Amino acid sequence: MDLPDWSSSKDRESLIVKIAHLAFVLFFVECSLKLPPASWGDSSNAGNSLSIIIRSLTRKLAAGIALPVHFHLHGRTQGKQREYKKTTVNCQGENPDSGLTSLRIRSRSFQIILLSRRHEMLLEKGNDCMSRRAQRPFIFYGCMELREILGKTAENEKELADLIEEVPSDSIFYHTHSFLLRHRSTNGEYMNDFANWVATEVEDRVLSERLGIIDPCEFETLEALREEILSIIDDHLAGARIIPQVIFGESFSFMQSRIIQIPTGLEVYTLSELCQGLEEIDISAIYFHFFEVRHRLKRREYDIPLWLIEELGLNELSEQIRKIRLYSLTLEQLRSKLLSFCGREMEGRREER
Amino acid sequence: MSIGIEAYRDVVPQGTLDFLYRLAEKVEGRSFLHINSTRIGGGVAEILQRLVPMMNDLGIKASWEVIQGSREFFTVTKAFHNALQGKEQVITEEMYRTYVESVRNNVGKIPLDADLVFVHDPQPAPLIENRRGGKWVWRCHIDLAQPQRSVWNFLRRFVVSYDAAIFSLPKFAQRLPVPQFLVYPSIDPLGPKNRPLSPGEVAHILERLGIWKDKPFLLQVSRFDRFKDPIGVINAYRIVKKQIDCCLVLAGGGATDDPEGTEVLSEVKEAAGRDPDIHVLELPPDAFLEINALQRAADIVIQKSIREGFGLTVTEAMWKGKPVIGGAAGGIKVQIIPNVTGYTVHSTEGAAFRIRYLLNNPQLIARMGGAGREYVRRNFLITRHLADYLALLSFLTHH
Repeated sequence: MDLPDWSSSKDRESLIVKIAHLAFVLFFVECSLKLPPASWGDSSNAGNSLSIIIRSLTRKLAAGIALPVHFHLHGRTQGKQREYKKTTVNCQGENPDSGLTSLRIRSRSFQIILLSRRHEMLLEKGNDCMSRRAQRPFIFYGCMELREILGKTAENEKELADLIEEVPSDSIFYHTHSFLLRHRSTNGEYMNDFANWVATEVEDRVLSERLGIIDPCEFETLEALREEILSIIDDHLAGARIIPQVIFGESFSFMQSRIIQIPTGLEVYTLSELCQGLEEIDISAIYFHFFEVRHRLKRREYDIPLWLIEELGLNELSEQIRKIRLYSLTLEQLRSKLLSFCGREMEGRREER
Repeated sequence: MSIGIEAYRDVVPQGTLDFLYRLAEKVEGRSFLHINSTRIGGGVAEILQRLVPMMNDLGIKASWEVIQGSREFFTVTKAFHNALQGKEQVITEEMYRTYVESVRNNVGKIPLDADLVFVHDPQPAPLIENRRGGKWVWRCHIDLAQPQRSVWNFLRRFVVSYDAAIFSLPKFAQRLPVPQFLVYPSIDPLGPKNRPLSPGEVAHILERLGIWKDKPFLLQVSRFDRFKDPIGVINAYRIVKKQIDCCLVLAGGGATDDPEGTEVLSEVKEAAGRDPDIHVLELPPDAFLEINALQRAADIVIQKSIREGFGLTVTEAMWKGKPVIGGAAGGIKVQIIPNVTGYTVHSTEGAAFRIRYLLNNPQLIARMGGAGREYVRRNFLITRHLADYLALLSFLTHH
C-alpha cells in the first residue's frame, strides 16, 4: 500500500479536511445517539469531548505527523486503567473508520495515543478538569430564613438547659448552625447563640467559653448536638453553688428556623463554571449548600462535594472541601476558601498539561 | 417621582435584587393586601409607601388600604397604643365598643380578598371577623413587652383568629396559639430621611437650623420623652465637655401634641441652660431632610434610651456612617455591635466614657462608621424587609 507523501502540503491539507469531516460526523452522530447508561457521558457531552480531541488531533497533524493513525483511548476510572477504544483512522480510504463514530468518553481522565509506523506519541491527555462536563448539572439554591419565635424564654442557666431539652430540633439548629446566616459579615465572640447569651447577659465566662468551643459540624445529628450542649451545662451547674442568672441583661428567647429554598437559576456543568457560580451567588446559597443541606435537609443533589466526585471525578478536591472547619469561618470566608481550593485544582491541572 | 426597584441595585448588597426577583417568581401573581390606619405619617406608612410599589414591580399584586375612623376612634386607639406599650390607661367599655364598631363600619368599604392580608398594628385588628379567605397575618410594630393586661386581653381575642403574628423583637411576642415570626424593621436608603445629600445641602440645612459646625458634634434624634433620657444625654455631654470642646444637638418632634412631651421639653431646655453649645431643636414630623442633614453632620450619634421599641434612628445614623452610642435597651442591642459599630451603655457615665473615647480616637469613628453602614446594608434596608414579607407570603400560601 502506497503511503501518501506527508511532507507534501497538498496531501497534508487533504488529510486535515478528512479529519475535520470526521470530527463533524462524530459530533452529530454522537449527539443523535440515545442517552447512554448513567455511568456514561451523555451524547452531547461525549460529542463535545470528542470534538476537542479531534480539533487537537487536527492541529497536531498539521504539524506534520505521519499517518495512518491508530487511536488508543485510555481512561482511568476510580484508579483503574481501562482501554476504551482502539481504532485506526484509515487515511487511505475515502471513508473514515465507521467504528470511530461510536467512540464515547466514559472516563473523565483519558489519553489518546497516536501510533504511526515509526513511533508512538501521546497526542492528547484528556485530564483537563476545566473541559470536563458533568452529565447532571449542579443547581445552586439560595435561601431565606423565616425566624419563628417559640415564646419560650430562659432567665437562668437551669431554665436554659430545661428548654434546650424541650424545644424542637429546628430551634437547636437556629441557635447553632443558622447563627452564621444571621451574622454574615461579622464574627461574634462565639459562633452560637447559647454561648453568646451566657457571656453577655448572664456574664458567666466559664460556661460561655465551654459552650463557645462546640463545633456543631462534629455532630452527625442535631440530637447528638443537643445532648452535648446539655451535658456541658449540666456538668457546669453540678459544680456551681448558685444557678447563674440574668440580673441586668435580657432573657434568652428560643426561636426556630424555617428555611425557604429559592432557586437561583444558576446551573453549572464544569469546575470553572462552579467557581464562577460560587463567586457570584448570594451568600445565602453558600449557607444553604454547606449548612442546611449537610445538617438538616441531607439531600444528596444539593451537596457540592458529592457532585464533584460523582460528576467530575474530583475526589481530592471534594475531600479538601469536606475537611473545611465550617465553624471557624464566616460565610464570606468560606466562599473565599472554596474559591481558593477550586482555583488551585484548576491551576494544578493546567500545569499537568 | 416614584422610585423603581432597580434604583436600589447599586445601594443594596450585590446579588440582592436578583435574589428578590427569584424569590418573587415563587409567589408571582399572588395578591398581598396591607391594611393600616393612616396613609401619611408614622413609620408604618413611611415603609408601606415604598414597599407596596416595590412588590408590584416584582410581579406581586400588592395593594394598600387604610381604615377610616372618627376623631373619637383615633383617641381610643391612641389610648390603646399607650396601654399596649406599658403606659397605664383608663379604657372604658364605651371605648372598647367605639373601637370595634368603628372598624366594623369599614367592612364593605375595603376589599378584603387577597392571598395574604397583612393587618398592621392594633387599629384595624378586628377586621379579621370579616375574613373571607386567604391567610391573615397581624403585624405588630409596637413594643408589647409589658402591655396593660386588660387591653392586651381584649385585643388578643382578635389576634388568635389570625394565621400568624409578626413582631419586631422576640421579647414583644406573647402567649398565642398561632405561629409568631420575627421581622426587624428597616429603612429606605433612597427615601428623604436617608438619601445621599451633598455637603452643600447639609451645610445649607444646618445654617437654616442655626447650627455652625466648628467643633465635634454630638447628636440625639428622638421624641422628647423620658424613656429617651435626654437629660442623661446632657449630663453625659457635660462630663465630656470638661475635657473636650464639643457641641450637642437634641432634635425631636411632636412635643406640642403630647402634654408629657411638652413637660419633658421644658425640663430639657432648663437642663441645657444658657450653654450656647447645646441646641434643642423642635422639628415638625415631616422634617426628614433636616434629620438626614443632622445625622450626616454629626461626629457621634447617641440614642441613650432607657426603654426602646426598636429605635430605627440607630440604623439611620449607622447608614450615614456614624458610630452610635446607645442605651442597652430593646432593639438598640440588635442594631449596635459593641466595639464594631458603636457601644451600648448602661449609664450616663458609660455614655460619657464612650463619647470621650471616640473623640480621642477619631480613626475609630471612621472605622466604626464604615462597619455600621455595612451592617445596615446587609440587615436593615427595605430590600431585606421585602424579602422577609415575600418569604412569608411563600411560606403561608404554600402550606
